[in-house]
Amino acid sequence: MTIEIKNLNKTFKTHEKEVFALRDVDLTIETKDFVCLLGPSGCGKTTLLRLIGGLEEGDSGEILDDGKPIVEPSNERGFVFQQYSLFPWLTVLDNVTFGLDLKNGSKEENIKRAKTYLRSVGLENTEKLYPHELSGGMKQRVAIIRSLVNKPKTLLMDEPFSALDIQNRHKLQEQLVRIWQKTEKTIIFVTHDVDEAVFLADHIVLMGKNPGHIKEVYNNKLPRPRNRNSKEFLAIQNHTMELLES
Amino acid sequence: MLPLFVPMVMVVLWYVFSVPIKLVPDYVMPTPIMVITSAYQLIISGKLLNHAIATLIKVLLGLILASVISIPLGVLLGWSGKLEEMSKFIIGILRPIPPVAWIPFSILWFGIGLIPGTFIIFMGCFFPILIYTIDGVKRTDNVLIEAGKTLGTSNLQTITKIIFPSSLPTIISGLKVGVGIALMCTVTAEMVASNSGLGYLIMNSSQLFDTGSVVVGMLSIGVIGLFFDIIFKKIQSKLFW
Repeated sequence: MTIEIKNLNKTFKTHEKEVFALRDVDLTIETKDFVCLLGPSGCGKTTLLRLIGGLEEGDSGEILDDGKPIVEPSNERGFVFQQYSLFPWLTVLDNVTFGLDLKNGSKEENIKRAKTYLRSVGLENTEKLYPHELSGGMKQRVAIIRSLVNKPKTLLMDEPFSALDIQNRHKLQEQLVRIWQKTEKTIIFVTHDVDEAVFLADHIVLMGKNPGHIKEVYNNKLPRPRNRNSKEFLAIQNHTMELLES
Repeated sequence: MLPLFVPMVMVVLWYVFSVPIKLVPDYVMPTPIMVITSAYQLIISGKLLNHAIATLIKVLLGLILASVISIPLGVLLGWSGKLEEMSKFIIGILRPIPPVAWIPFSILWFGIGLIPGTFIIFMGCFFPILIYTIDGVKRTDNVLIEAGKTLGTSNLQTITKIIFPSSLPTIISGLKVGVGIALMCTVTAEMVASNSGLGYLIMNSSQLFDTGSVVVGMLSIGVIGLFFDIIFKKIQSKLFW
């Protein structure tokens, strides 16, 4: 019950040059782990997440999800994008039932389930609204719910909170931790923000660039709920920063 | 009231120059009274309604036929770069041909009446709708397509549930352009290859020096155009997010 990445390589062609986006990446992610991919821009963390999501293809090496190679996107692996990705022509409720309706379940059941999920994050009053009527934070919460409602085993998140102001970002981080504790999903979360990684993750995958590679995996044993102002938190934050810059 | 101000001033000026001043003879420029008389007679006799319906039927038929073919085709061409590359040349060469240039063949193939007119309109709206559809499909935000795939859409569902709705506003814009062209085409086609419709009314009246009816025909086309415009604005206000 794991995601295994073995000797993964990925290059991008720009004009005449070939650039290594990822080189010799090996990583194992256990079920129910909360993992952050942390690194500066250009370290290939988003590329790695997209590869796990099946949105890109690697050049060599393999990615296995419970032993099966990942070749295309699947609703087993929910994906929350950095950009707002709600369907603008659908209401919040229709966005959330989108994945369920694809599977021909009963419409009533789907709506009931979607409503339960929306209520769980306090969005029950937004059901009839269209995405352009929502704030940035609400859009990302709906996007998370839209993935979760399909009961994926894994949730892949690509800097989903980076466009939000700091209060909203903190609120959504706390909500995400609660969702993770309650639903016991595997979460792989990309960020360039050390504070965010230390707050969220149990395993922080530190990445470097030129070419994109994994430096090391730091196991964050800080007990939850985590307090950003505690001495321990700041110590781990400093330590992670040092590892990243070394 | 504001939009009516300019037309009202125009009618007053028209009246002053054509009735008391008599700048030109009335078979060159009819007076407002002649137009109103013609309009009254055409409405009472039911002729105006019949001609307007004849024109509308051709416009709608041509538009529907063109949409049924060019929207799915446009989605396909916008979706597959290869198919678009293959069809670039043929579209490029057929598109600039004015629809009225098809009139000779439309008469040869379909004679006089409903079908040749519909054919001309079809040729006229086909390419704008096609081009707009291709454009709308290509402008679909990639993140929406990817989001769909991670929620479990198949290739077909990606097209029907994401690409199509996402390009709908652009497709509607294409239809709007299509209607404008369709109206122009119908009237032209009716002038030469028809025995009904507003274009026929204009042509026939002009041969009888009934310039009042010519103006009635012209204004009716304007009203139909305005009517379509209002409908499309309504649709778009619901569709644009």
